[in-house]
Amino acid sequence: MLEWLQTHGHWGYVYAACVVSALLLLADLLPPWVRQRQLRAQLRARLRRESAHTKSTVDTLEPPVA
Amino acid sequence: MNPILRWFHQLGSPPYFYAFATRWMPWTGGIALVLAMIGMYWGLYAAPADYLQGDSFRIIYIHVPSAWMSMLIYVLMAINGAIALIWRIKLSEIVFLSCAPIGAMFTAITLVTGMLWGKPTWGTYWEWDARLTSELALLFLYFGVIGLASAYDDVRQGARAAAVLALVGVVNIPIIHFSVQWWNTLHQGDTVRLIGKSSIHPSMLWPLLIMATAAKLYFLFALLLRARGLLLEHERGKHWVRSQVLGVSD
Repeated sequence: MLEWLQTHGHWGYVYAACVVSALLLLADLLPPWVRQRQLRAQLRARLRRESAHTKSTVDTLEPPVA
Repeated sequence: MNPILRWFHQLGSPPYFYAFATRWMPWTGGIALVLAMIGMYWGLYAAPADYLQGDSFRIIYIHVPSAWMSMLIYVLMAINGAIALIWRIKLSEIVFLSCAPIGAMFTAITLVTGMLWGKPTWGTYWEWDARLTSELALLFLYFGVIGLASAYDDVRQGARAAAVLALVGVVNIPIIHFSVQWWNTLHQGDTVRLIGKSSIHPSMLWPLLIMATAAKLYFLFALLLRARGLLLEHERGKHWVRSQVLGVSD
């Protein structure tokens, strides 16, 4: 890596700085973005389960139609 | 009440902040991306090479905005830490916690790009000079804040403990800024000044200012993203999350 930098002169250092910065930006952005998507999906799934449970309870409690 | 003050008070409410973040995230992220592309093209290909440092000076367009952001974010984090300690406002704790990883990322970029600039310019990647060492101390302070905040089971208690560390660490910010004046360092002095004439040519200054604006907008975007996620995590059982975030009406 260090040898590659030295053989590519000034532009090698410039491009290496760009690549490392882009990787650090991605490392900063991706985890909270993924976590937020997972959390929203979990919350939606829980709500679906809750509403299904409530619906089945209501169905059981309802008196049979004559 | 003053409309700005009223807006500021409203911003302290989690549902209002969530809606605010959702509305502004695409704008801040989008404009940051466009400005970064313009600034990078201008800085890397259109701006002239430095007469002394050659093309390696172009690292300035990443290094300098990141360095400014590393200090600015720390100050913002400490202010929110102080608010969290004094008034115990939940949103300040969340903003405080959200600032730390973004600030650490900008500090890491500053150090790595500085090293990559240092090798062709000074002949070495690293020197224990005042500016470099104090910036490294800033990275450790960010790590300390992140580590301390996550060491507690109670998130709010962890945020307040980390806020004390952040406030103590503020002393490092003037040291970083004035290190090139107080000590005889390898790092060059200030080339861009808010007050007085900058010693950098406008053809090189403009892309730098564009990149600095892009970095600030990126920070806002990342802050809103992280704060929104933390809010969702802490308030997941609240009624407003069901109605506002998941679109479920009871």
